[in-house]
Amino acid sequence: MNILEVNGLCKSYRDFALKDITFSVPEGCIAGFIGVNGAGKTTTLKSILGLVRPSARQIRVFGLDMATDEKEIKDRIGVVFDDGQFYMELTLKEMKNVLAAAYSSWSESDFAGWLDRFELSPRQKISELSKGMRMKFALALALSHKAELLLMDEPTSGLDPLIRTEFLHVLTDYMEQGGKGVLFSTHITSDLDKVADMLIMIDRGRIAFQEEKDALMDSYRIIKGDPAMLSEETRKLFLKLEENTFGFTGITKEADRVMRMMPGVLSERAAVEDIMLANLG
Amino acid sequence: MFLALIKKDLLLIRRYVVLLIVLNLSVPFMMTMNTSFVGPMGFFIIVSATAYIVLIATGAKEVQYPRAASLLCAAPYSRRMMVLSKYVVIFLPYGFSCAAFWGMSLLKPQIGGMTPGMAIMGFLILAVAVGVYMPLQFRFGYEKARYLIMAAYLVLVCGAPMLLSVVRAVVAESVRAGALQAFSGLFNGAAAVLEGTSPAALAVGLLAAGIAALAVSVGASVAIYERVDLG
Repeated sequence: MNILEVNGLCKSYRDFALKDITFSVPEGCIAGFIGVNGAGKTTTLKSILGLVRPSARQIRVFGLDMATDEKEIKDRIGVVFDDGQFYMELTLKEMKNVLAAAYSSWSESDFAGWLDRFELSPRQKISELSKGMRMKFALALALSHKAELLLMDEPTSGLDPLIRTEFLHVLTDYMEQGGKGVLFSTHITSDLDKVADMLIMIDRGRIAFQEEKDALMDSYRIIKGDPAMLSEETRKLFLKLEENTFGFTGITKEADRVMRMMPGVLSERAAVEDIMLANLG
Repeated sequence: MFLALIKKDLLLIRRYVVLLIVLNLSVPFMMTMNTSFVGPMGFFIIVSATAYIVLIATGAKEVQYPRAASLLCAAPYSRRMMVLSKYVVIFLPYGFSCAAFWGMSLLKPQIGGMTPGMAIMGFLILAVAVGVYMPLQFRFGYEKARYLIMAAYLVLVCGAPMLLSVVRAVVAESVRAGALQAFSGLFNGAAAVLEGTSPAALAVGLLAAGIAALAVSVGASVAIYERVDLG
């Protein structure tokens, strides 16, 4: 069952447009939403939440239609934005009180537990928190009302590796409860190497692919070899090719053919970042 | 849920709340030094100043945290609720102004006293002013809305004498005299109707007019804010 379905999402600005964005996130899945800066990740997430008004969209969450059941859907979604988007002069407790009142299933004990885990004090002012601490607070808010779907926009951007790792642990703990889903936009693809089950790539306002991560990673290979081995025919097998006098590095979806036609080249598993860069238009 | 939004705005402008309390408690006393400001005139000045400070303070906070509204709208807060809470926050201090002025005039009768008519008239003035300003703020944002209001004020103040001289030069005197007569007839007619109306009915009418102005303004603000792309 899909926890989130986006169909035909379109939104036009003067110099950018989302065109027919269609994808889905199954229950029990952490979906990484990848793309370079300006590809349309944030606009897509904000369109899903109705924060920007798309010219066309059909969005279903938990089987409900966002157009008619917006309040019920939002009650069951946890949201984390890249910089928290808080009123910085409020304390954590004051900001919590504003948001908690909106959710029917808000749990004070869950919230207190998350603050303890993240070593945050409710009396602290948000403006006194580091970016990492603000993101932890955002996560605490998103996880304290029994959310069944987490929508996160670049949550790990600008965080140090230690906090990012902690963040990813929280996500995997969350998924272990069952019946949950996560859509996680990022351009730091190494995070997705660790936790994502599915990858959705957006490029210049269009969905480039949506695939299970393992299948996707298996279908791409990094090939390294001597430039002398490259011919007009073999070059066509690569999605992206970089070469210098010492060697070439290319990424391909036709590893078997490459190995047959270019015996002796090195084949390596591609990382999410390699796949993303290979699919840029 | 709705109260949390109002409390949020009050927390954000808490520094100004002290200023508002001082203003509402001290200005009535100061007014007694100049008799032309006591009574209704003084009350309207305090109400206007209080509302202006709250408008400016809440607007400035939205400019300071432009993306915070997104977080609230991503939660189950509807945009209608967000808009309504802003109106309530602006009208809450009005209640305090009335109470403060009434209390102060009991302590110091020279202030001129507080009547239900003054409270209703103050509400009507505020409803019209806020009713015009708020949809502009939701449509153009705080900064542009302020400039628009200032520009409109300047046009009114500077443009009215200019318009009058143009009218004098272009329109024949007989036509002007006719128009003036028609206007004064209309005014006298309205005055006669008001004279014939009981004070209670007049108060209810003014109150209803204020509520109607606010209802139209809230409707317009909601319609505008529903279409705004949040950052």
